[in-house]
Amino acid sequence: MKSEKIIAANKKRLEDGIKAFERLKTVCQDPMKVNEELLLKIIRDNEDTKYGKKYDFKNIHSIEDYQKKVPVTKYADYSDYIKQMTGEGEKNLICAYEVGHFNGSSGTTGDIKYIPMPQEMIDVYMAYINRGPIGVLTDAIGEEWTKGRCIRLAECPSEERYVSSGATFGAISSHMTRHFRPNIDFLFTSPDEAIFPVSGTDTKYLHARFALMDADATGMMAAYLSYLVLTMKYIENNWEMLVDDIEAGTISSTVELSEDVKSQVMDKIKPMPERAAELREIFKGGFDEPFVPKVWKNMKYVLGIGTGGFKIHADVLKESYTGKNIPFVKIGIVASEGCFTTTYRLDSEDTVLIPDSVFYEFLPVDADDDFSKIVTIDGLEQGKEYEIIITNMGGFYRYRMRDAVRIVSRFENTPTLEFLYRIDQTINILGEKTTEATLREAANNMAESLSIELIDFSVYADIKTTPHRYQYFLEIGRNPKGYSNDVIRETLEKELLKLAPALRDLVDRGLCQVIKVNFLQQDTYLLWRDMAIYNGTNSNQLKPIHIIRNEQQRKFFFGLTESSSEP
Amino acid sequence: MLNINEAKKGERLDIALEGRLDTPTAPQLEEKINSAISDVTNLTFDFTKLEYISSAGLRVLLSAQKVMNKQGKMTISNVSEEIMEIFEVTGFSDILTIQ
Repeated sequence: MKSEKIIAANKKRLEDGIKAFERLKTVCQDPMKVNEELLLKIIRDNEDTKYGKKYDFKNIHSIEDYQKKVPVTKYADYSDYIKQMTGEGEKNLICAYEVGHFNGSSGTTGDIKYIPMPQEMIDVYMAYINRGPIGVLTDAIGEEWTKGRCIRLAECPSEERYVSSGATFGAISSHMTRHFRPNIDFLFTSPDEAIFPVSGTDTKYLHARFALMDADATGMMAAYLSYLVLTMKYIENNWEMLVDDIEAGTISSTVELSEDVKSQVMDKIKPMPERAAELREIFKGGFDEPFVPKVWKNMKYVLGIGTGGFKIHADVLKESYTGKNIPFVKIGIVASEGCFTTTYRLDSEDTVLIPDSVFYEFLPVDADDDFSKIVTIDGLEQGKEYEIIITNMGGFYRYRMRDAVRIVSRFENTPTLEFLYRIDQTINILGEKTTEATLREAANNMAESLSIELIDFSVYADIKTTPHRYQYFLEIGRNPKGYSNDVIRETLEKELLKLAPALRDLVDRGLCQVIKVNFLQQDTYLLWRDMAIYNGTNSNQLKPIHIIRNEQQRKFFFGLTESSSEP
Repeated sequence: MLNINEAKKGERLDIALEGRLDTPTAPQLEEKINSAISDVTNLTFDFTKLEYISSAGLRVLLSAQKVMNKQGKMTISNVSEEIMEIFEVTGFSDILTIQ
């Protein structure tokens, strides 16, 4: 009976997914036409807003008019309007549509931002982030995945949060996950108590425990693939306790759960000696081989954000846990201000622009803020790097995202691109402007060439030392060939200098020293994560710290090196 | 190597640590705390003989602090200069009650 309900719930996802993928294929046929129509609709609908009047939207009839009359903007240009919207519930300031939700930006670049999110925007997110990737999956592998549930590692506030005006507020990922709540038991392995946890719930245990109980799970999914890596690592470190609990139908006393939650969860478990025996046999064999295909024999896909800064985690997940035969569906570039790209094929690093999501403009990264060089979709050149500028349905016009992308290819007639780095995320000691992407690629190349597991890395621009230098922080996991720290450092240095000619030039001229590498104590990135969550960051929104930006971060990582000595 | 000396009196749990609280030893402390903490309202740590604490050890303390935020108080005493420095640089001095 339950398996029928699982298939029925998944069939609905499948149908929605296929429709969304079909919609994507349609709008990608003539992306410029669709994108221009979207812009003109936004302009017409918003011409009587305060912002629309200020910039004479009534007399905008083309992209050219728009670019002449409306300036390029940043968040500060909207913050006063948004304060009135979230506080008094003022309408028609920047957005004519009904704003029932404010998306809470994760604050990657600073303080938390409130992004107005009318239903029109939520519908686009649902179509292209929740549903479209399922359509792509089905298109590639068929319907087999519908036979089981998904290991869905989401954690959303148990209750909706509200701003003063009465609109809801929070991460869009949480908002969308609520949509699935009535069918959680049939769609996902994790119980409601893990996905909508109350304070003091050991969600890692619940996610891992319920995932292991379900031998028939067919998918794995998390907003960021880094969370899947953490959960797999948790299973690796705690498998005996988890398996003992599964065998006896108990919850270890070491697991932090309130009495109420424990009682609710206990109603959902029973002794499973056969499954426990099967798992024990697998885990006793060790963790040198990926265990996911053995634990979940019908595993069909991994889905989540695994490009850009998260590629490092996607690679660890594949190498250490899933193996190479389970396809990855990597969601595209998603921000609080809009979803900009979505996936169009499996195991792909590039994703495709969504012509009916936002209106796109692109500023070449090398244009030095010369806005006359801005192009639209039809002016993009393959291989070239651009900053994305968007106009969305929430009242942001010509808004600089500060995300750098590279145009890769085409899907139908629409450009595909890969995320490179956040423009503000560069290290710049003497004008060399080394991007986060370059620092990451060097670290990844080093890890790959030495076959070591790189848990994560951070880089600090050390200008206290003369000549200046970059200081890398590395947390190393498995190192099967036992390479020494010296070999790791030398390999990383070689890779970085190969990828960063401007830095190499500075080193050659004696203006910069070669890099210093600091090796972090085990679990340092887990500790960083735990601290961030303790201090109130939503676990769905944690992003890697690849460039150390402030004194707090600097002290933290310097304090937790293997030698724990500051420079 | 870590020696854990614990004394439980009613709702009070006193734990004195000796040696190194790091990746190999942190799970021992975690297990001890988890098995005894459910009815504790006053958890104390004596760090007089603790020589070293690593990221893994800090995670155990953070986890205990989370529990005690809900059910009572947790204090740490006799912290050496070296460990105090670790608490300060990692932000733990803002989270923990250190005497």
